[in-house]
Amino acid sequence: MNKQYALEINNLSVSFFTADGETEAVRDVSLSLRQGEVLALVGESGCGKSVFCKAIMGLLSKDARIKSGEILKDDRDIRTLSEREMQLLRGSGISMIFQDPLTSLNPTMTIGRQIAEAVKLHNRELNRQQIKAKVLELLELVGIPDAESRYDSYPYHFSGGMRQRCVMAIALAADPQILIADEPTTALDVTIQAEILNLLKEIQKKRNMSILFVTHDLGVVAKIADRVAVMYAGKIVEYGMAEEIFYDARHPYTWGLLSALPYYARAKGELQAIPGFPPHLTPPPKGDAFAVRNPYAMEIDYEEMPPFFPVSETHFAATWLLDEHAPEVVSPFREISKRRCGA
Amino acid sequence: MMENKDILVDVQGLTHQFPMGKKKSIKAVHHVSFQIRRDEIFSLVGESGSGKSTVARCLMNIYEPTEGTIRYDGINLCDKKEREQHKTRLQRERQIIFQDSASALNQRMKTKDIVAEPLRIQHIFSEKEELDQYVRQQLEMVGLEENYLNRRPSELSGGQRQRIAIARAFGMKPRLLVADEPIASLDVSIQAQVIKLFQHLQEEHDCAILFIAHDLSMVRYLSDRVGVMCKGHLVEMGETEKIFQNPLHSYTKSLLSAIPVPDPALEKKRSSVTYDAASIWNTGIMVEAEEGHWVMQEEADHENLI
Repeated sequence: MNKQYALEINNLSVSFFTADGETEAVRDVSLSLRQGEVLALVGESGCGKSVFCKAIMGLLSKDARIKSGEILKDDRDIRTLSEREMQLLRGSGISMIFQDPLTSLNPTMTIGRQIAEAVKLHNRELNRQQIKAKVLELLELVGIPDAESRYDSYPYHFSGGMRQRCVMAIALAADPQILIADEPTTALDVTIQAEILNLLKEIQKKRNMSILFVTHDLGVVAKIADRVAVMYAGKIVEYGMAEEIFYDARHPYTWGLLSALPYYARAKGELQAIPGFPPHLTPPPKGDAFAVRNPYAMEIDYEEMPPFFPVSETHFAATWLLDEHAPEVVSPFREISKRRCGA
Repeated sequence: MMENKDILVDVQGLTHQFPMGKKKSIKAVHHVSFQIRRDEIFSLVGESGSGKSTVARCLMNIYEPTEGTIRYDGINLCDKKEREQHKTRLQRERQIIFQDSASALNQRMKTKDIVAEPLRIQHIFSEKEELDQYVRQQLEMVGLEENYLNRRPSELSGGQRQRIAIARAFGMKPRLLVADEPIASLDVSIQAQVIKLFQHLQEEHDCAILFIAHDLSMVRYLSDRVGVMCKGHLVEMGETEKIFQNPLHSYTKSLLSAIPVPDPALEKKRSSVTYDAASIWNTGIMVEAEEGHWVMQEEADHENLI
């Protein structure tokens, strides 16, 4: 295992077994999280990003199964850990925050006690005063003013942004090396979102944490991510440094996502929508799942899954357009973004 | 000022209070005034709790305003008698699309019946065949094919449900469409589809749209004029580009600086402006800074106007 990786995921496949048959939610995904980086996982709802995160945390529901692949943390496959070992890993090794802070918090417990619970679990030797001191320290870390008086507040006393800060305090209670953030700011207002993102970035730098940040908002990605992976229909279709994805995307789906942003379409009528809807994954379509919505699709796209083609040392895209036999296609997005940046 | 005959909706001094218990009440909207022209898309933006939706609901007579007047094409909507007189017309000409189409559509009805229901109530078609034909046409226009006619909302995705809500609203050929966060629950690529649909239908039907959203880049793309709301006050109003390029009120500045821009090099350099909304509780008055661009000035700094 490479030392620079905090988490290495190889060929992970997760399926749901339902009455309608097998739904392949995550299909053969390999993704590695480097030490101290923010990796954004981008995709539309239903593309499998949340299932992917839950698989890493060992939180899959009963009808889901990891079919193949390995999740390596410190040279050990997480899948081989017992539930007890897994519990120790959750929180201290890998922590997770979810989209809706209200459902992650217990409405009948004070904020202070909920954070103390997480602190206690991972630091058995601490006495009551020490725990309280640690909780107050955490509350300060996540930017809750006047922590002492907030200790005895209930979740309903707090606004959405404050609740998300409390959830962050719980997630950070045991100094995790890796934080998985599943759409943590989607439910918040833009001004609150900006505060939470700045805070997350600040804490990440301070503690040299690795963050896997799941979102569908490309603006948020641009703000926070060092690297970006784009997911579609259960597969990663393109990954690279943030600049490479935003300025030099190679996969038609990434072009589509970027062109669908009103930011790049100033004149009326310039907004480009991706036609059609994402495919069903019970069972997934043959070949490239994006082919039916892809104006550049070739015959081979309907037949065979494209492998990853290297664009640079850090940038890879899974599209047949990068094959040497493919016709030359210029990204339609490049023109738009050039004009935008020139303006 | 705008020509009188161009104005479809004229809101003057709209205030709405929600009672909180017997003695207290909370002011959701404070003395808001704006006008909507017959063929424009007017957007209201602001954070949650700023009162945007309350304004929209007052416009649709879902809420009864506490103070102020709303005139729709000369009809005073706050006057019960006058409203009753023009009931049919108001029902036909004003349509609303809600954010959460899953709860706005009747789960027990089929797609075609949902779209046909308002048409049937208004007796717009006398023949059943005509009605069916028209419903089919409407669904086709929003990109839903024949095989969706007999499905129920639970069998559809969020984007498809929102299309049905749009087809139902546009099917009535409204002159005023109120769209309350119609795209907030949708995915990026589907958002673009729905917005394009809005634009297309607006151009075709030539109606006025009150568009409410918190996605400011979408607002900038779509609308002709924008009003910015904060804590129930309308703090700034004007043509879209003027507001976005030259925001005057400090709340607008902070709101605009908070939207993340999908451009990593630019985004990592930007810093956000913070604004303390506490001062907004003082009442201010709207001042015209340049032609058609209004900004709220707090009474204290009246002397040092721009």
